[in-house]
Amino acid sequence: MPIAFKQVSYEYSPGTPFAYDALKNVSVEISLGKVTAIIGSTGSGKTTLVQHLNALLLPSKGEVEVLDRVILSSEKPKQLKSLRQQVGLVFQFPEYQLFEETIIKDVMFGPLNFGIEKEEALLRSMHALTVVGLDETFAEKSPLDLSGGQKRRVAIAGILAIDPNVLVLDEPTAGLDPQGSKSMMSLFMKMNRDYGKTVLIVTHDMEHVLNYCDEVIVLNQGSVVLKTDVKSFFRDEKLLDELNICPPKIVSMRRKLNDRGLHLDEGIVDVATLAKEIAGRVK
Amino acid sequence: MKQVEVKNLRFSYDDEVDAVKNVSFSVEKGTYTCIIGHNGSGKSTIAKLLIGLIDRNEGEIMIDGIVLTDKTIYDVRNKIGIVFQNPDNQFIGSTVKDDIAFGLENHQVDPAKMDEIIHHFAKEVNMIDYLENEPTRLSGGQKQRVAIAGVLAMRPDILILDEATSMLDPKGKEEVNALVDRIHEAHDMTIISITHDIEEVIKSDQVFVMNEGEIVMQGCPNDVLVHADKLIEMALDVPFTVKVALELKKYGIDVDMTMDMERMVEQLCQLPLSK
Repeated sequence: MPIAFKQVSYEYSPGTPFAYDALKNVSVEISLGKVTAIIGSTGSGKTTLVQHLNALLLPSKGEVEVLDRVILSSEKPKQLKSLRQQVGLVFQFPEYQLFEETIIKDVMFGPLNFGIEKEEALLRSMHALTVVGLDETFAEKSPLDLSGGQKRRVAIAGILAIDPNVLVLDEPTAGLDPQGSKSMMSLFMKMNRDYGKTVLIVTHDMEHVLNYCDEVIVLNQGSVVLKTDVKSFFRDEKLLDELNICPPKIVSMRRKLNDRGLHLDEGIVDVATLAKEIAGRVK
Repeated sequence: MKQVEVKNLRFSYDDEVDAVKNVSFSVEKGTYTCIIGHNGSGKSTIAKLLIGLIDRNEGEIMIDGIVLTDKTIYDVRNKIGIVFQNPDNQFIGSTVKDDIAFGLENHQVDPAKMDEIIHHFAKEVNMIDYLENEPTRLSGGQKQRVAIAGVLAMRPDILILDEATSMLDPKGKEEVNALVDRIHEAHDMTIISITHDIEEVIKSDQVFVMNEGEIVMQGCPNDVLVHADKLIEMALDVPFTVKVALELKKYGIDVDMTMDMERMVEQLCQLPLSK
């Protein structure tokens, strides 16, 4: 398995009064080439989990296998640089991390740091900016002149310019307006469908999980309680209730209609299909 | 009674493009108003103009019958409290208690009375057990509730929320929304909420839709939110039930554009369906 957590535990501030187990004996595999959602309430360990993927955090116990490398506790993995080149991590609110005087310089910082030649880095960065929907007129502007959503795009372009195989996004749509968050999710879909990237998204938005993700990992108090494909996840009403997850609107409506004896197929997850199904049944 | 009255408001950040163009509206006392619009449509600019953080180029703002001018700005600000989007950007005190105290100290409230006021409002937002806590160790929802307590301690008549829940997780969002509803009811507080949360809009009394600095639609949610095509054109969200009604229309099935999920389910069950 190319990405796998094997009995991983992580403790923050060990040996101090603030010691805290953020991950407890986590074993889970992440499928390459898919879009995986990581969900769970605040403090459940989502961010801690994904920060292991490029060895920003090292496990206190257990091991993490990432693309033929093994990350162990207390031992820095060899070839750390090439690991970080292959696993691109976008933090929460990455717009606060822009620091260069022009946008293009900021995007180029990553590739240059990884030893890419300047010309190549420039080409890649221009391309990355186009991919995130900012044309060349933005290149020489100051990042400070952009809106919050645009800044976030620049930060993501900075990761895309490194051209990682695995893209990890920690709450990438938090605080964006509906349109901004939709186009952000489409961008990640494109990275997966057209460029074959493995995408991991930490999110609270169940509509996004349903509409964009293939698989879902549920965390609770530092443990993985479930890993499954998204369709069967939203089919299991009992489980959703147990996990205290408010299902997407379409799922609740289907549930309510079925409670009234409609027997709608549980595979119906979008409004268009629901309407078609209902229309087909009108006598 | 009209508590907020805005006439022909115009504002430009750079003297080239108007961020707010000829906007007029009014808000009745004790009502819940939502302002929606995509990023950059001028929503937050309106909020900043109302509290005089930025100065209008043209037009008139009247709060509780007081015209906002350089001379009346502090009277106006006494009537309005505002909570911003990012919970981390509005903490001043090193403990929850200090943070709530900040506004009171600024208003030179008698220190002997301060403790009682702080306790009262910490209780109101359900943060009484956290008075000595450091803000950094609170969740986003808790931080926003403390921010609201700090604002309430100033006893405003109007509470403006500038995307106050958009950075919160579902639990935090629920906590803050429930608190705002409670304040709205209990104090007859006028609420003006800038939001992207369509569920919040549905339960409001009136909604303003902003696009490119103008209010392009206004009215009660039931009248405004059914114009799905216009909303989508402006990159805005449409209530789920409206999406269902629109899809059904394609098949020649007419149902009422209700905002209420239960009513929509009821309508669908009334159709002559084979089960």
